[in-house]
Amino acid sequence: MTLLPLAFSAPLALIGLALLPVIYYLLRITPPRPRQIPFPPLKLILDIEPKDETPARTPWWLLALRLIIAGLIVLAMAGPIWNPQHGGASGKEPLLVLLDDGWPAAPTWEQRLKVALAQIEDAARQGAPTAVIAASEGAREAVLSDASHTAQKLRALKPVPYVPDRISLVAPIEHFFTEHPRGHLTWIADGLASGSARPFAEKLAELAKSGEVEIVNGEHSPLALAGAANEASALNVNVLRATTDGPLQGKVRALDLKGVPSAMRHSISAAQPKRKRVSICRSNCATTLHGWRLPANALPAPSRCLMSAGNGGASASSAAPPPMSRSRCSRPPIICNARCSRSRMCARRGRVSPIQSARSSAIT
Amino acid sequence: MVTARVLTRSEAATAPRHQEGALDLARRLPSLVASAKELAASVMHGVHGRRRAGTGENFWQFRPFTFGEAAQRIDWRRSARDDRLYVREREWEAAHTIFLWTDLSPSMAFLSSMARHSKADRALVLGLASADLLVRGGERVGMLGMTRAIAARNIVERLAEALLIAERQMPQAGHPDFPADEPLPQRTQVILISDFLVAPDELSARLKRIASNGARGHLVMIADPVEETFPFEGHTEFLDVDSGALFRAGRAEAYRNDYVARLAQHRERVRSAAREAGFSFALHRTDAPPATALLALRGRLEANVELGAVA
Repeated sequence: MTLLPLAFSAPLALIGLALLPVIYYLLRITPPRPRQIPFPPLKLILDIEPKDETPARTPWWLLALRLIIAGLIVLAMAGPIWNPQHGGASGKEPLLVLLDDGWPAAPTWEQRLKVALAQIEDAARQGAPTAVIAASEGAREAVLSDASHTAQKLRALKPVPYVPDRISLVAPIEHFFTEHPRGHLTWIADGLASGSARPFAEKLAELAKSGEVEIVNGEHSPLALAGAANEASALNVNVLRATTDGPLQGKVRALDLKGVPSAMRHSISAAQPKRKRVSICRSNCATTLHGWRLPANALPAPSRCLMSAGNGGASASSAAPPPMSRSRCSRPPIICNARCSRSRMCARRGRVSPIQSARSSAIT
Repeated sequence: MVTARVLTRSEAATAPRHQEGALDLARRLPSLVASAKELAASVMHGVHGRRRAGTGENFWQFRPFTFGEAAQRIDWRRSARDDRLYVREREWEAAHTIFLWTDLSPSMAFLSSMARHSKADRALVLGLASADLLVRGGERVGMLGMTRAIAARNIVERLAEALLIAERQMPQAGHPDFPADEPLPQRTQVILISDFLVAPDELSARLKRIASNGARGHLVMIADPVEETFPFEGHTEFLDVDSGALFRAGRAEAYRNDYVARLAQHRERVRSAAREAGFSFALHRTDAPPATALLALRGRLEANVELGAVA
């Protein structure tokens, strides 16, 4: 089915549609059941010769209704599935869901879980065993089990505040594909190259020769902050995104030493580059401690960008990844380029003004 | 879509609703009669003067006393005005006897969606109402083959009771589709209410036997509108009520013209059978109000009564 997002779990039952002409013919020649009417003066006409004995035809609308009902019964027996998540006629091959759980996945974590659950349920409907591994789990073996166990494990996963290295996952995936050469793998990727995404994707394409690999990406790449520079007038920070189709709007939040936030929205249009410098400066009146503001003067000076991962050559499935919208992260704020900025903040702590040790975070 | 059904036995049985219907109908009639000019002259049947001397209430004539008569018959007031003796004679007056018979055979227990009452219902109501009307007019009415002629004021209740008793006595065989055909005495009248879906020859023979001693009668043919118009279409299976015969018509509408012709023929033969026996004939459809049928029946009863009086 290419016109409709419709798949059948028992396509052989569709052969029953071939019976429709037979049903049409039978209904056409079988007259409707006679009405029985008591009629006292019947003996007056009992001796009349039968004249036109051609029975009345079945009315066309009744015929059409019966044919439609018969057709729908056949379709229902074929087990139609609307909008199948898993690439169609897959049989009972096991499904391995690989979930990126680094910080880029955190804003859209609920969406990612939903997609993974839909895939697992779809596989379970066809009787296939499923397994799920998170990127942060490393070289742990994937254990195939039924859908309820897998879903339970999936719900227990939480995003981690770093980007795990995916290369360690190659061993369990290799094991999976040697045991089930025609197995399916769905990689719900976070869309960033960090965590050795490209070598991993290349390795996947190599491993899944006869199996099927599907890569599901987010709709937008995540935002990140980098290069926070504490200057006398303002705290300048770079807002980064992997591609220009990242979220159009975000909120930069700056906290002072006491952890009191002061936030302002700042919009990032699609036409702007992947990196943008946001200057958070102290307000001109020194009376209030929370007087942060975001000036509109952005400085487009791209020096570094995160590479896009995901839509690489490993994708063998034609199914488009379902759109995932942004959602708020429940985890603590994550600072990109963490080591660098943390050491600088440590060095300056306790020496200068609260601005210098202010933490900045990005929350999309 | 016209539907029709046969009433169950309990539905078709004589019930209080028939008495009420009959009384209601009979009570309504006098006003109808009063409005009808040709019947207004004698609203009540009353007592029929025989136009000759006999026992009665009304003065008929004075005649000269003949020797040998009982002396108390002399009208002394009249005789005193003259030197001859006179006897006052009164008009001979006698009540008529009318027998009633309503067909309650299975074919009468038929109701189609085009009528509100079954044929049996209508026959009973019509029969009992005419009995009430006749008794109030001074006649004596009885159920043919069930009761003798009575002139009680509660004639409707009495006749309905007799019908119920008769129903209980023949639980299996059901009602006959024709009354017992013993000859009735002269000057009695009989009202036969039925659908007359019987062989016309047999009907003619029976009517002649009933009338062989000089009795007269009236036929009221009850018909359901469905039986007249034959509004059926399509594949239909007809079921004969009396015999249980089945007739399957591929296209019922193809039989309509034949049926209507046969029905007209049958009615003509029933009518001629009635005429030969000296009976009157009337047709009543159950979708028409019963009052018109009762009015027509009354007119014919009256005409026949007068005829009988002259004869």
